[in-house]
Amino acid sequence: MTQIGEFFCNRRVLVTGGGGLIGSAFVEQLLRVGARVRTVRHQRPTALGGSVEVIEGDLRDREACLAAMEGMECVVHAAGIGGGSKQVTLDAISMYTDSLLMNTQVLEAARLAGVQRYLFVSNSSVHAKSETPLREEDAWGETSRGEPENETGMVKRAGETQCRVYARFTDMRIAIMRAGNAYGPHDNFDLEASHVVPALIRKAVERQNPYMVWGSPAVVRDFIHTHDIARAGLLLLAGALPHVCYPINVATGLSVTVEELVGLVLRLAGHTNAVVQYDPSAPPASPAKRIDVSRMRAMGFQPQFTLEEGLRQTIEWFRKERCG
Amino acid sequence: MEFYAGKKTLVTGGAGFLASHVIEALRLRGARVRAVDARPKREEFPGEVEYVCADLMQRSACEQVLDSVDFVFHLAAVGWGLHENMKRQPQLLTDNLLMNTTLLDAANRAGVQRYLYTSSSAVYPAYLEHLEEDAPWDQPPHASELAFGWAKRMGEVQAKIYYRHYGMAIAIVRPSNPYGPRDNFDPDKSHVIPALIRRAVAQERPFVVWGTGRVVRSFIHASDVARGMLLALERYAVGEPINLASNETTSIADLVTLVLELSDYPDANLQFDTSKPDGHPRKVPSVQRAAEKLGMGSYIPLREGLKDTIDWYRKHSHRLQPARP
Repeated sequence: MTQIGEFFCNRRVLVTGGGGLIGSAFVEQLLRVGARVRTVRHQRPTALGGSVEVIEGDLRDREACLAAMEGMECVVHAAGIGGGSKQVTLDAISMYTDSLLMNTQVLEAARLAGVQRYLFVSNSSVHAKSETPLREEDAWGETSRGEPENETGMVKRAGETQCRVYARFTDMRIAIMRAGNAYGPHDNFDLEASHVVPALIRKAVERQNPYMVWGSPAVVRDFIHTHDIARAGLLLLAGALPHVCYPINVATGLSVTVEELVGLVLRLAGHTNAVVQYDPSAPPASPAKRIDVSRMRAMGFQPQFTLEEGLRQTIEWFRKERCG
Repeated sequence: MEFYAGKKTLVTGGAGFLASHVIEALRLRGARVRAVDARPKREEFPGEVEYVCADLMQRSACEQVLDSVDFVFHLAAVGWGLHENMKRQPQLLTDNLLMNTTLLDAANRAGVQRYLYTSSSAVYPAYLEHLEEDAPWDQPPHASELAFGWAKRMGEVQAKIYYRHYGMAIAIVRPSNPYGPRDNFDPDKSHVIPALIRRAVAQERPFVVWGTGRVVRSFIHASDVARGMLLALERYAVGEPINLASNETTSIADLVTLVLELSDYPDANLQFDTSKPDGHPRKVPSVQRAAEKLGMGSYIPLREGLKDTIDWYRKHSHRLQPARP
């Protein structure tokens, strides 16, 4: 962390989505190394307190973005309108239109405000279905395997493209990270909108029985704790950023099945007598998503959390939150 | 009953070249046309068209021009000419994205009945030779059109989502190299055909053309594009893309020879500068879907269309704006 510490100490950094799952992990680490952090809040309370500057604004709006950028040296664009696969089906329009407007306005405002460094948080949804571990170039380059599976992937591809165009034609230095399936504190634990990890945790902590799991037990994913996503992101942002900007996968490289994940969550939450039932009404998700992390390793980065430690910590966080 | 009769129809990019042909076709079919553009009005449509000057990146401007509109033909695109576009890729991408996104969302909320989104053959992956509508976007657009192509792609994705989730009737058309009367002949902004015509009429000598001339392309007359657009809105507003291209292909060398002949300048000392890049060797859009879904069978032949364009240019060249220094 010394490299990150040196670079970000006293640096003025805007984190969009600073109250969210991924953004909050960035805020926490930036504060720890002495950065001066600002975040933008819109229609939703944020638990962030203390030394974070929280301003009000709608990032789909040019003026709000410009106001948020004022005086900032670096930007971590972690805001997104997202949700679990249930949510993707229900709310594709707002997800698409609002994300597109926001990505576009935030990036352009950063350019206009003379921001020096910019990190775009993308994810593995940019990829088409694939049997083999996803390499960075599989979404774009010679080995591309087609289109993303849904609109979230399309909007992330558009966001990456915008970043690459800006990196090539402006003075702003830009990094793109593609996170695996993120989990950790500050996640959305609302069952209607949540991703698989918070949904499983909530149901386990609340002792749901029978224990309903949305989707198939055979689905394979690479789950990474947001603490590690933020560490990798800051390392990228502090590093040498050439004009040809290239996305970097940030994941554990270790994939698990939903069935294994369920077993782990139930054990860690102490809900061992649960009768597990899989809900077949869920739309089919990509059966396996494994992520190649050789570029990330070559950068000298290793995740610190094992899945077990990460889940234990997230369960504890949720228990505390729930008790208020 | 005529589909367009009495329909209040908004044409964005209304001062542009393609829009002028769309407006002409709409007027012939009895539509009431409102044209919107950030540029001044064209002189071709005095009095017959309600003209509004507005910036469609602003939500409020979109809401205003959409008032009581039945149909939308969204042709507007931000651009500053080929050279300038290359230098301003970030803004090109940003402004087009913002405009497309804002206008479609506002049109949906305003309860517009039908909407046509003008995409482009620039959405196709760079390597592709035979351009079929369902070809996946597994590779980026050509590097020279990266920003423009991506802005057009995202507009298509958005159109599909609005069709699927709101049931909004949306047509998506991908014109390929339109040309014709009222095209842009400005040396900084003109595409290949108007550029060749301008230089042939000026009897440039020697007549130097970049590349080998062997590159194959398909060019479509703007009035055929306009016809295809009107048909698409009427019959194929189903959130699926459709190529608007001619069924005739030509090499650049043949195109140049034809332009020189029709401009009465056959003895030009024609030279191909092979030290200059050629671009992709072959780009041929499929016209099958347009035939099946729109009944587009015959197209204005290139020879006839070029003649028409040259005639128009000869009549109007003295009134066109001089080249900027």
